[in-house]
Amino acid sequence: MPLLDIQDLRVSFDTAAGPAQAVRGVDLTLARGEILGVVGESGSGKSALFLAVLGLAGARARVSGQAFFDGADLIDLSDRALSRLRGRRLSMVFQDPASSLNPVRSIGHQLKEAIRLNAGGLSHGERPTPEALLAEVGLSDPQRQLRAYPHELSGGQNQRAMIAMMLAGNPDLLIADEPTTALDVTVQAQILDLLQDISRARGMSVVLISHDLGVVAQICDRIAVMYGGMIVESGPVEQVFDAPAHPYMRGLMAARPNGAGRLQPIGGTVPSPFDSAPGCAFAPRCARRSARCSREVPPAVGGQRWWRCFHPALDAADAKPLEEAARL
Amino acid sequence: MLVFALRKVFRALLTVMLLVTFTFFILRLTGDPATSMVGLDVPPEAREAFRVKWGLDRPLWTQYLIYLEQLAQGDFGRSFVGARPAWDVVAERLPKTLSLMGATTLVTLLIGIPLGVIAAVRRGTWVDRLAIGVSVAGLSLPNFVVGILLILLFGVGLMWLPTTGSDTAWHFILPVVTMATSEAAVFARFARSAMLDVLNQPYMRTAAAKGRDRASAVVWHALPNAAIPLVTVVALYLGRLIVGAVVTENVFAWPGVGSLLVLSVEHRDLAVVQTIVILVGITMVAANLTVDIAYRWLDPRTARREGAG
Repeated sequence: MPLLDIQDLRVSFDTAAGPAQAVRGVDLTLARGEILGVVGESGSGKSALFLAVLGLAGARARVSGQAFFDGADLIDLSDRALSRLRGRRLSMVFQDPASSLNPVRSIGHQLKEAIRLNAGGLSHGERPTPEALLAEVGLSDPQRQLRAYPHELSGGQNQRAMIAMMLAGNPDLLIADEPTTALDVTVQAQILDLLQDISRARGMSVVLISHDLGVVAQICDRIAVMYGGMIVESGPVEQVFDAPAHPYMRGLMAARPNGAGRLQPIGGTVPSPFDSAPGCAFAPRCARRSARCSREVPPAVGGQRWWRCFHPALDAADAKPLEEAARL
Repeated sequence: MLVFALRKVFRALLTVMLLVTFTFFILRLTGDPATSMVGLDVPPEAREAFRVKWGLDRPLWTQYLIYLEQLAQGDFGRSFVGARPAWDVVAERLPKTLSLMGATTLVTLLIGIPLGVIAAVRRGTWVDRLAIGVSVAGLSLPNFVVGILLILLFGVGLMWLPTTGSDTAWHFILPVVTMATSEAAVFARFARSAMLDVLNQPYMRTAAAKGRDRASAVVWHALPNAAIPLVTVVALYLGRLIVGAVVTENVFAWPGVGSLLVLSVEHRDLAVVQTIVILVGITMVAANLTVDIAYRWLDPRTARREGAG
């Protein structure tokens, strides 16, 4: 049984202009210990999806569908029950570590709070110490860092401290929402390595949400590409990167800086969350579209490696993915 | 830090000094104590005798220097009424005013802040609208109107509560409600907007991700942050409270410093008015100093930044 099994999850937000549909039916599974990368442009619904799973999408969010976590449907749980799971079984770290930490409480205060909330019932020997948690995330001067306030530490140190707080309850799943976007490139690589090390050492699953394919490629086992509130392609990272099937994923790959040749932007703009046109959300921007693409949403095709496209890039120039697709 | 403290103290002294000077000249330029104390229906010689007795016949700047010299020795001058030391006249009424202000502050904080916090947490619901409505009403009604309405209703109409004097605990109810109504409204509005700001901060979501339930996240993470802007309001509040006390004491014939001030201005009882003004000035300056210190205590960011510089 997968650790997390999301089925037909939909999220919309009540706005003055009507419901904004952020997530339009997502199916996704996550195995224990797996690192899943979720990529997409801003507005693709990747953050809303996982905020909804944790019950953190806010009062204006309308969530439907199921998200089975270790057998229990999180969408169905009461606020109180979900609150008890957060920090203990599932945790989340956020984009901007400085503003995601309370500015008037010391790091030590906030770390001890997390330990008390999520490991308070454990005996003294089993309960993690603040020093041990800081050491695990690579903060090596605990005396100073525990006393410090968030504004006294660097972005990378704050993000490490936040990860330490989220590890206090020894969760099965850590969702990292753009954890390195606000950080320098060198620090970014260190944080990604840290997430990977912790995942391996603890057998903890990680969902890494990012708009950056490079970030996902660095540590993820599997990737899910989101567009317009749906997953359009998913599979093991190497396979998807080697031979992207969905035209959107191919476009993303072509738009990456790789040192060779010009970047090729994807023409057009992302679909509006207020738009409820039928068919594939990418069709208006897609060079391979047919009349059918604007009429019906493509079904998921494939097995472990799958995509939602009537015209996947599996032509003669891509013999390898064709063979693979046939094997799956 | 020492330079910072010295600068603060120097500025405080300067403020009080300016206040003393301003009050001294304004009071003497806008009315003649001899007229109000002795009256117009007596021979001019009587008024002249009064002026000579109190040194009011001398040039204004001489009077000013003499006054400053007395002040420096801790002498606030004497009241024209009974020639008692002005400080004693004020001091004997101080407890009445302080107890009124204390009770008002307690009620203001206990009603205003929870009202604002609940309105913010339940934003957009009927609770929020009710709180906003109540606070707009409280803000728009002047103290004297609220006081007179309360007197009409509970004093004259229902005859439940005493409306003049300060003898029992019952006497506190109407003046305190009068003053606390508008002050609680101010605090509710500020607390609401401070909380709304804080509730949308990313660290509130982090608290939830950590397993904090909503109520305890509000208490442990939102309130300490919302307290920072609220502290600024406290200094403003003290000024409003003093003004409110002057009005309210007169409406309810409360024998405090506020009613003494109105009486003394009417009579041009110069020494008493000046003593009260100095007292108010020192209180305000002290309040602002306290706010500065409270800021540093509440917000580690200001403390470290200034401490380093």
